[in-house]
Amino acid sequence: LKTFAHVDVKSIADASTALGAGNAVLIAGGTDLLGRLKDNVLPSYPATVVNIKTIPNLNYINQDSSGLKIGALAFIEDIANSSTVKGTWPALSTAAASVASPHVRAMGTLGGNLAQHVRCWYYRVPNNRFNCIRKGGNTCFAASGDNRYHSIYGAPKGCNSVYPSDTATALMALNASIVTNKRSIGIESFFDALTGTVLGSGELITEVDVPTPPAGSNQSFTKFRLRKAVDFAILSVATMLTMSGSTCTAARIALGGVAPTPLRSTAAESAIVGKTLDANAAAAAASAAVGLATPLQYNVYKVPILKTLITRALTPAS
Amino acid sequence: MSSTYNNTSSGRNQNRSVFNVVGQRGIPSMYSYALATGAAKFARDVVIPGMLFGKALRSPYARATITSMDTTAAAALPGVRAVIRWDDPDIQALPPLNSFSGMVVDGTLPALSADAYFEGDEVGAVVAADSEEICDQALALIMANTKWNVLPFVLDEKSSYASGAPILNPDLNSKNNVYSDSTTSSGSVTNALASSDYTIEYTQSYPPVPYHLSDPATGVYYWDQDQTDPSSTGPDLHVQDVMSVAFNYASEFKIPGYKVYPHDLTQYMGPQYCCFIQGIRYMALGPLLAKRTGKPVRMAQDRRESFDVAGAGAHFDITIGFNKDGTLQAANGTMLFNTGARGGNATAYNMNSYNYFWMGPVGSKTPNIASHSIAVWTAMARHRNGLDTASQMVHAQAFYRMAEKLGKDPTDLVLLNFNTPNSSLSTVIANGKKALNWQWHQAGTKKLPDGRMHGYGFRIKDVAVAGTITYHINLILKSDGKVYMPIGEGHFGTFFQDCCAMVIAEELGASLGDVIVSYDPNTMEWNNGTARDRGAGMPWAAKEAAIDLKAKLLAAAAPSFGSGVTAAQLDTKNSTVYLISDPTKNFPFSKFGGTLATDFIGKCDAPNTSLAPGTFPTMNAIFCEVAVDTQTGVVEVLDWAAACDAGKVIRPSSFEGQIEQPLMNMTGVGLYQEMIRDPQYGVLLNGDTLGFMPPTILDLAPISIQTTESRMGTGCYGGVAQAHQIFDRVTIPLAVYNAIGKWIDPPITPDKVLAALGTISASSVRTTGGIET
Repeated sequence: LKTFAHVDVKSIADASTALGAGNAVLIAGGTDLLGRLKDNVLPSYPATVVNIKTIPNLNYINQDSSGLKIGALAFIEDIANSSTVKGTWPALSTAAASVASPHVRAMGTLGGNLAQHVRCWYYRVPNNRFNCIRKGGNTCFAASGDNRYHSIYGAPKGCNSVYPSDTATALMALNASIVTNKRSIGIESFFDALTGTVLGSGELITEVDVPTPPAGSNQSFTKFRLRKAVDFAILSVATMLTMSGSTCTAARIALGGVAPTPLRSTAAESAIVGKTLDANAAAAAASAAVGLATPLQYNVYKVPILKTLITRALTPAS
Repeated sequence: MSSTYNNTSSGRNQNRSVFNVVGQRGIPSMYSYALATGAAKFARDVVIPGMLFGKALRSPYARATITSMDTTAAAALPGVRAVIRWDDPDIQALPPLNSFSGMVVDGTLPALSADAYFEGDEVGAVVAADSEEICDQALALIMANTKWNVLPFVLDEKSSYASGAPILNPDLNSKNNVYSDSTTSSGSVTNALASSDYTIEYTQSYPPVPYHLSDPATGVYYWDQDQTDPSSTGPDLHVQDVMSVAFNYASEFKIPGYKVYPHDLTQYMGPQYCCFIQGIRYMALGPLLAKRTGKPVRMAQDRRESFDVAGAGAHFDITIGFNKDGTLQAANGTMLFNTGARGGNATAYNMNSYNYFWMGPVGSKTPNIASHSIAVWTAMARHRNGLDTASQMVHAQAFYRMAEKLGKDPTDLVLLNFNTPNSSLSTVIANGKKALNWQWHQAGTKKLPDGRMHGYGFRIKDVAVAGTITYHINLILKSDGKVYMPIGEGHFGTFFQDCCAMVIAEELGASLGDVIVSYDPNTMEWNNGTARDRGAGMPWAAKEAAIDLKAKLLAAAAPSFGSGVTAAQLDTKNSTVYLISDPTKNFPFSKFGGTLATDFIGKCDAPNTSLAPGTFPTMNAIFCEVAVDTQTGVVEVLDWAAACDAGKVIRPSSFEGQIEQPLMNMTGVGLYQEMIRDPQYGVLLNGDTLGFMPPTILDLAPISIQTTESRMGTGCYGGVAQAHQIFDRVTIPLAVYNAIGKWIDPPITPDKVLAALGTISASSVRTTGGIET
């Protein structure tokens, strides 16, 4: 690691000030940041690392009348193991439990998980070997390179990476809001296809609010990866379905590992809302979702797998 | 067990039938406490006061030559202690890196040059500085002041061999990229193929697999004059790295071998055994930097740099001819072999299809075999063969192809087509089948209750004899009643030191706690072998030494039992010498210690058998079951059965570890591990643990180990080691073939499965391997 100033802050305001001073980055669990710094992934190196672990009482997991409120410093492992989360927001606990490894979950925080950088291997080659469009360059090297793990829904701002967060996919299905020191942002507006998030200068995540699920709803989270642990999602699917008998009255279907941001598949939702949810409807929804896919040269395989994952997620247990 | 083989050529007491120590479970290793508590220090943990850090410049290009380099700014950076360029006279004076005996490079690779042969290759300059960070800064300055002639490159063997491919080493071969080319044949292949009832053509290939070790190579080097040196020929070299044989350094730096002190900082090598090539430039450049600066220098690879070396990749085109009764009549193979970057010496000869059809040891009955083996350079990494010789096994697919055609069980075809000079082969096959409840089915015909397709994998392998190395064993019975054996090799995980202690205790009648196999880095015997080797054959030499020592002990003890008592009337037990006719008359070893020692030099030779020299009389058979999800392409290994003829198991947990570890590796390389470089720039894309995906413990399927102790083989009490002969890259692909009826070269990732099933186009999968569609 190169030398940098390390600042412990005691409050969100202090963190914002330190962050807004320029050329500074936040550290909480550090499971993403330290790897980036060690490998000199980015063209510039921070002068200051602002430690927010020293902010008290920002790791809560509380349920109130409106839903679930999770402090930005709550550990992923605690979210995965929380009986509160398991009981009412099982998609989120499942997603949290699928993150990385026990060690990483014990260090990583929800705020960090949502704000992590993409895992695109061109982006991550050490010493900024590929100064890609995401780093201020003008090329996405994956577009014509090895793109087996990349976007199947295009590159809205020129970047073909996929957003890696598992909790983000679940939270999108659960219609969460991201609370910062400056505003509350609906999760569908929180992510940016090039910068990762819409967080501005001096802005940091302080809380994640997850509404109480509608009565009669059920949830799921499915992660597709090659190994049974550690890996980021090649694909993930999170659902929250509101049912009236066998009829789906409302649906939120979120897809991970498919684009530079987590995507809500309204096409899939439209295919099942107001209809009897059976195997045929599930398959129709999956077809609708992947019908919009535009895979790259080497990630065509992700399309049929995504279709299968959606179908299985929506197919009622027999 | 019937056998045409006997062990009489393998030393004394080879057929021992009563074991009090050998084979016992629950005996902790002498290393257990240190390893479990973290007290064990590895090369990476070594810190010496005043120690500097060394790093080499790494090429950002897959093939390039430095045209100019200015190191002035780097040398002026505070904390930089030395910058040595490739054209420095001291670098130029170093011999080619193959001067390291046993190294896996050929003679064409200098210690450092202006040429880079793959992205990440060490090139141009090396620096020593007060910290790794300063090294990085210095190298960044050098990189900024270096100009390159960037050259075209090629990554895979097929492209390298194709007409019009860029020539990677024109000074060595101006016409093409062929590194070696050889043919081998026996019988009349053409005629046999023509007269066979059936012929089948198939392909098989494997990508290069890097030696992704848990602890990337580290070396620490320093020179001093603190040792006794009657000839006063200069300072001694102390080295702590992956290489343990002192004469490599002696050769490199032109000093007597006794002035090199390997591994005298810590005995814990970690996983660095068998990764010589990873640190090889360090081995040359580290001592040089230490000499130049007059300080200790540490050179440590980071994770990405540990991808410098790989087991070679290969592509086979095979034609087999066989008859309706299942007899294989002929095999004709062409192999294209990826030897990687210049210096890689993965020559084709011992990985050719001839070798693997003949399987020399057991001896295929197939009379007609021919192979054309071609090795070509690429810019993937620097490749060697080594352990991967066991991974090819192109014959295994042949028997599956034949099984499909004939409706027969491949295990029966194997038994039909290989010589079985003893029952080792049939025993391990029977044991493995029983463990898996083997119910053979044709490809693509068995569906599991959850809808996934079921497949069986199976292959056989011969087990090495390990009679190639001479050992020099010193045993000393000291006055404390304990037996001491100095051993010059560090610990790297195979626990052969513990095996030696157990064998010595067995033969000497000593309590295990009274046998001290202790690390002595200066134990070295130049011309008569050495105790500085890792392995499997050493307990055999320890056995012989212990037998010698016991004879001396009994002779020395006899007078103490009274006049007329001879050594023949005495025996030993629990570290005492006793009178056989009256065991109440006994004396502890300590009574006779202090003057008794033995000095044994020898090795376990090839067995006394009518089979060809180098024969391998014990076998193993590996089985697995897989489930294939045809909708997602995911392959899951459900279970393993490893049926192994160990000859004789000395330390059960070590034996089982030698099986479990390669099965873990096989899971990884079978399902997802490969080194991935960008097609346009040749840059390594997954050079980290996350990207390369070593299997997690959750990925390892349950293993049923079926142990046979045939007592055949020339290791101690029979057999030798297992690990090298367990690993393969064929069992999982065979199981997938059985599940879906399509051959897919490893790693068998979901995209390949979906392509094989026709869900997607094979052209949409980036792979150098084959996908049968």
